[in-house]
Formats: sequence, C-alpha cells, structure tokens
Amino acid sequence: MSIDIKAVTMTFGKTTALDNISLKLEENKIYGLLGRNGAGKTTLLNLITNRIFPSNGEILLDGEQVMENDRALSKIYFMTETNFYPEWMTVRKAYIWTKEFYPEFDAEYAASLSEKFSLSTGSKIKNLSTGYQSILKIIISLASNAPVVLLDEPVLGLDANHRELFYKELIRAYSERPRTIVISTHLIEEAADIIEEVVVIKDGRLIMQDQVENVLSKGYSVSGTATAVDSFVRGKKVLGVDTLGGLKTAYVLETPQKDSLPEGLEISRLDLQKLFIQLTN
Amino acid sequence: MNLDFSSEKPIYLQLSEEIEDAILAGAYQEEAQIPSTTEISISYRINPATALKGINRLVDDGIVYKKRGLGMFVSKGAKEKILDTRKENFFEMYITSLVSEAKKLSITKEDILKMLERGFDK
Amino acid sequence: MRIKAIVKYYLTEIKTAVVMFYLIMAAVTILISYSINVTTGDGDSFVGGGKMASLIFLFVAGLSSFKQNFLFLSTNNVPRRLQFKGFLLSALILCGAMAFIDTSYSNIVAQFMDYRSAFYQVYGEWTLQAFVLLKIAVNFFFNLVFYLLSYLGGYFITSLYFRMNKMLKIIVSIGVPAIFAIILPALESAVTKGRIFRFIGDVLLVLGGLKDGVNPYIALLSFTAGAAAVAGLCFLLLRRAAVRK
Repeated sequence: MSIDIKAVTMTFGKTTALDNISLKLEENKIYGLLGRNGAGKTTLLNLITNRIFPSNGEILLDGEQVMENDRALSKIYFMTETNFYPEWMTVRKAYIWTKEFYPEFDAEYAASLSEKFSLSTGSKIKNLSTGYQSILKIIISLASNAPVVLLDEPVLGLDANHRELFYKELIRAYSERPRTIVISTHLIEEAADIIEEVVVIKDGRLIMQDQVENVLSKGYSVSGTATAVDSFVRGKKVLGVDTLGGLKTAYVLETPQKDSLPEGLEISRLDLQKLFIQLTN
Repeated sequence: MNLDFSSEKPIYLQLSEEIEDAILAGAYQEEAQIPSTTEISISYRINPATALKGINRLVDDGIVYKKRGLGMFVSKGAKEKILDTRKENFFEMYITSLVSEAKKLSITKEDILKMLERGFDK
Repeated sequence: MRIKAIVKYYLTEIKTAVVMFYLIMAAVTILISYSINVTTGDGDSFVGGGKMASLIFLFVAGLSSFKQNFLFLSTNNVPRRLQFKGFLLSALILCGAMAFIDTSYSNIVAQFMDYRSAFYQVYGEWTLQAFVLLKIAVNFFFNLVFYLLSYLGGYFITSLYFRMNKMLKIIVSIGVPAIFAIILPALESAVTKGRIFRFIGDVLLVLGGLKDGVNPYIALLSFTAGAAAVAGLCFLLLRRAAVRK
C-alpha cells in the first residue's frame, strides 16, 4: 500500500514541528526516515497513524484519508518508542490481543521469534528492560502482517546480536511477504543496506527523498590544499567543509567526474552516515 | 564471501563479483544452483531489491539463468565468460590506477617493470 | 470485526473488578444480615445500600476506564469513533448486567422481607397501581440509566482531565469545589436568599417526575437524556484527543 502525504504542517503551540511536507511512499519498499533528534520523524509517523491531527494538509493511504478511517488505519502497524500497554499485560496476552485487532497476526511466527530473541512470553511487559520492550514491539510489528509497518527507533536498547537478528528477520519477513516498511532511526550505518529509499527531514522540512544508491553515487568528499579545493568546488553543491591544518575537505552533493579531477586532489565516496551528517548539520 | 560495506563499489556490484569469484573458484559448478535472492539478502543483511539487482546483472551477462519455479543456475560456459570479461577489464581496473599512483609517487616505468618481474617470481 | 474486539477488551478489563465487587457485597450482606438478625431483626436499611455501592463502584470504574484503554486501543490503531462505539456498547452491557443483578436481587428480597428499594419508596404511589412485570421492568431501566449516568460521569471526568493542560487542571480542581462549597452558599445566604437551591430542587423534582404527581417515565426520559448528553460530551473530548502519555 502506498502513503501519500500532502502538504502536511503540524504546529504545537508556537513551534512548527513539520513544515509543509509532501512526499509519497510507494508500495512494498523499505524506507529509511532519517533526521536528527527533534527533526519531526516521530511527529510524521504519529500523523500517518492519526495519533495526532495535522494542523494542515492530508494523508492518504491508497487514496483514502487515514483520519478516523478504520479501513485505512487497520492496515498500518506502528511500533512506537513509548510503551502503551496496560500494566497487567503479559507478552503472551499482548500477542493474543494483537490478533484480535490485526486478524492477520501470525501467532506461531511471534512465538518462534520470541524463542529466537529469548523473550519469555510469561513476563509482564512493564517489567521488561528497554531492550526487551523493543524486542516485543518488533515481534508484534513483524508478525502483524500489516501491509504497512512503521518502526520508530526499532533497535533502541538492543545489543549487537539482537540488532543483527532483527535486521535479518526484517528482511526475511519482507521477502516472504512484501510490505511497505518505514524505519525511523539515527543508526543509519546499520540500516543503510536494508533501506531502499531514504527520506531525510531537518527542522520539520523534507530535504531529501531518493534511492539510497542514487544518494550514494551523488555524494563525495574532495580533499587537498585549501586553494585547490576551493577552486574545484566553485559552482558545485557543497554541503559542508572540514579543515585540518592546511588540508581542506569539502563534502559535495553531485555525481563525481573523476576525469576532471585536477592533480593533487583526493576524491572519495561518502557513506550514508557521513552524507547524512553533512546534510543535517 | 564478504561484502565490504565501506567500499566505494555499490553493494550489488560487489555481490555479483562475489558470486563470479565463487564460480571461478569452483564453489558453484556449471548447471549448479546458486542461493536465492531471499537467502542472499538475509545472509548479507541487504535489501532484496539490491540482491536482485546483483543477480540480474549476472543474468544479463549470461552467467546465470533462471529456471522457472526452481531458482537460479550457473550457465554453461560461465567460467569462460567471466574470465574473458575480467581480462578485458584488467587494463581499466588495475593498470590505469597503477600508473596514476606511480606518477604520484614518482615511480618510473622501469621501476614498475622491475616490480612486476619480482611479483611474478614470487 | 474490530468493534467486537473493542467491546471484548473493555469488558475483560473490568470483569475481575465486577466479580470482586459482587463477592465482597455478598460477603458483607451475609455478615450484616446475620448480625442484624441477631441484634434487632430489622434488615431494611442495608439492602438498599447495595445499589448505592453499585453506583459508586461504576463511577470509580468509569474513572479508570478512559486513559489506559484509549492508549491501548490507539496502539492498535483503532480510530477514536470506533473506540467510542465500543465503549458505549460495553457500558450498556456492563450497566445492563449490574442493573439486572441488582433489580432481581431487590425484587426477590422484597418477596421475603418487608423491604422496599429506593425506587419503590420514591415512586410508591405509581408502583401501587402498576402491573407487577411493568413495575419490575421500569425499575430495571431506572437502575440501568442511573448506572450509565454514573459510569459515563466517571469516564467523562478522566477524559476531561486528559484533554486539559496543567493550568486548566489546577483551575478546575480548585474552581469547581470552590464554586459549590463556598461561592454558591455565600451567594445564597447573602444575596439570593435560598432561591438558587430552591430552583435546583424544583428542577430536580420536575426531571424526576415528582412534581404534580408521581411519574417514573419522566424520570426515565430525563435521565436517559442526561446520560446521552454526558456521552455526547465524552465523544467531543475524545474526538480530537492526542495519543500521548
């Protein structure tokens, strides 16, 4: 299912959390929603699931308004950072109740994932550590079989092994049953190879939406003496510069032309993490 | 097999080269099945679309082919094809950068030829 | 159907509390009736206390029926309108069941004891002429509407507090008691000389169907309207509520 965000603005009192954002998320792609803390990632996800109401604009799921629309909302599973489960609820009960609201929920798969992550299904959710609360929510999100899955900081508190397991299970679930997935994260490096397309927001504004591959082929850094670098990057889209003594490095967003590189300049590709830091600085 | 995620080469290209290497090394014989896109994307932790792109490159080059409903198989003569292409690319990939780095370090043509001899004798 | 799941969830949330409530009520009734029988032999007053206890129980249950359920249902992406439909249905089932239990109990007890529940005391004039089954039916609906009003009232208060910011919460928490406990009585004694309270009393009598004769149907009608009005207010509060802790 595709999501259409049309000219959405969200203000809280005097602060503008999202400023006239328009973007389209296509069916069955894995998206990375990137932005620094407070950029508006969670606000955007909250709006897509109608947890809050936009000050302006509209959001459509396959052409239907999501606002107060059960047909649309029941197609989306949103893994939030905050835990909204009642005090008394155990992991097992959470699975049972999710099945009530998401009939496609695969209880067997949830059980097997619990085993893989060694999450004990008898525990009360409120007694789980942050990491295991994330794991529980990851399992429910993957097993929900919702056509749209939104994950807000899914690896919060997870150790390296569990993160690895999560990414693998995400790909497995996605390969077996393609769905639209949005991963909001600031751990970009880890997720970079899983994401097909990135959406970068900064201070509530959309600053980039592109295929990861395109983005990577565009960004490069060029370093050398300050004068050489300066003359080389003139007229190009420079995201930022670093100087270390006499050495200057410029971060450029353009397809690099290696042939036109003057002597004495070094060019190297930017990975997603570095590019992101330059973009959002 | 290992993919280098910090390399300048796109992941899908690295993936198809890895598979070519495995074919050259005899890990996948001609007419043998290679792992599915899903298996590849899970074990390398990469987006299935990327894995598909890598495999499709091999299909386009005639190195592997698809058997409907069964999976991907190594074509007859795949090894030859890979060797031919790699030889063609050898100059572009190694000699050009060798010469450019040599110029930077003011290494002469004669020095390089000597080094080459040493390398072959090893 | 998600509406079924919502109703089921609301009822599951409260099921244990209802069972506990009736177990305690039963234990207390047995204990008191035993001790009263031993001392005075008069069992009139405490049987009617059961309904008051039910009203209080439902009010408290209403207070705790909003926030956690709203958050949990929202985490499952249930739209607010649907949540509210489910809540109303579950309220009807809950209050209906309790009204049924309480009405049956008091009417059965009345067969064996010289006992008249509050309803029979207030609408005694009417009950004397009415047909037995009709009396019991009206008694049941009377309880049901009162229970609903109490349950919805509790729910209304928590949703109101959920929607208010800190400042408003403080103003309302201090303001409302101040108006009723200090300002209004002061106004009454100094300026209006008891006219406000007399007016309120009159309005209640009219609404209760007790002005110019005794008519429980008027009471049913006005309290149903009251419950509907509270439900409407609850929906207005829920309609744009943000999901947050």
